[in-house]
Amino acid sequence: MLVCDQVITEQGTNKKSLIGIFVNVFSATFPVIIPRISVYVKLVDADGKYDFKLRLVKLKDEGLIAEVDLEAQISESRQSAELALNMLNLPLPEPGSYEFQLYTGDIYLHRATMDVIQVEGQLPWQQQQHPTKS
Amino acid sequence: MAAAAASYEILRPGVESLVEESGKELPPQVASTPPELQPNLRVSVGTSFPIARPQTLHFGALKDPAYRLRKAIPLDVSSEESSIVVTWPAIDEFGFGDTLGAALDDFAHTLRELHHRLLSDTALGPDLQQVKSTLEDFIEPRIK
Repeated sequence: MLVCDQVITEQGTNKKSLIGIFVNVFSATFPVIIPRISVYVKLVDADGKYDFKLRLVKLKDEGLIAEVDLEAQISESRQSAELALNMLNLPLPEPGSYEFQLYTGDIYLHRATMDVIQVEGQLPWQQQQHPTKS
Repeated sequence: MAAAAASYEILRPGVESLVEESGKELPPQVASTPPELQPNLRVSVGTSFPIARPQTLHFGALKDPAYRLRKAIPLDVSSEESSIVVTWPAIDEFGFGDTLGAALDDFAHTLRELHHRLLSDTALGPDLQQVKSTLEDFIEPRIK
C-alpha cells in the first residue's frame, strides 16, 4: 500500500504511475486539510466480491478520522488486482502519526503509516495555504 | 471548509510491451478518468473521535512468500499498559506492539516463525501436533 498525490494510468497497457509518493506531511497550522491524497493497493490472492474498508486512524489515541467503504468484484485470482482510492479534502486535526488501515469486512489486510509534522514558518518548497508532503 | 470526498477504481495490472527499434513512440499518458464507483466516505470532525480499535478482528495478512492464509484467523484485541495485544485463543499465540498495526505485524512474524518451525520438526509432542494441525487448517502453500 502506498500513499501519494495521484495515480495515473497509461492507456492501452494499463500501467500505473504513482505521482508524489510521500510518508510525511508538513503543516504550520492545525487542523489542516489535505486537498488531494490517493492510496494505491496491490491485491493478491483475491477472488470474488469484497467489501473493503479503508480507515484513517490517529495513532496517539486511535481516533477514527475517516472511513471509506467500497465494494469490489475481483476475478482471476492468479493475477493481482489494483485498487486506487482518491480522496479530497481529508482533515488532519493535529500533528502526530496517522495510519491508513485496510480491511475487508472485519479482516485486517494492511496498513500504511504517515507522520504529520508541525513546522514553524515557511519551508522553501512549501506552498501557501496547503500542507506540504515529503 | 470544503467537504471531504472520495472515489475509487479497481484496476487491471499493467503490462510491459517490448517493441522493436522502430516503435519508440510511447502510448498516450492520461490521468485516470473519474471513476464510476463512488465509495461511502465518513469523516469525523471536531476534537474527539470514535475509537478505531475493535475488540475482535480477523487477521488476513500473513505476508509470507511461500504460504498464504486459507481463511482469516480470529483474534482478540486488548490493551495492557501501553501496549496493544492481539491473541489467537485457539493456539494461545499472541503479538504485541505500541499500535494495533504493530501488534498485528508482530503476530504475523510470530506465526510465520512458528509455522516454519513446526513444518521442519518431525518429532512433535501431542500438544505441538495439535498446534500444527490447527495451523494447517488456516495456512496453505502458495500455488506456483
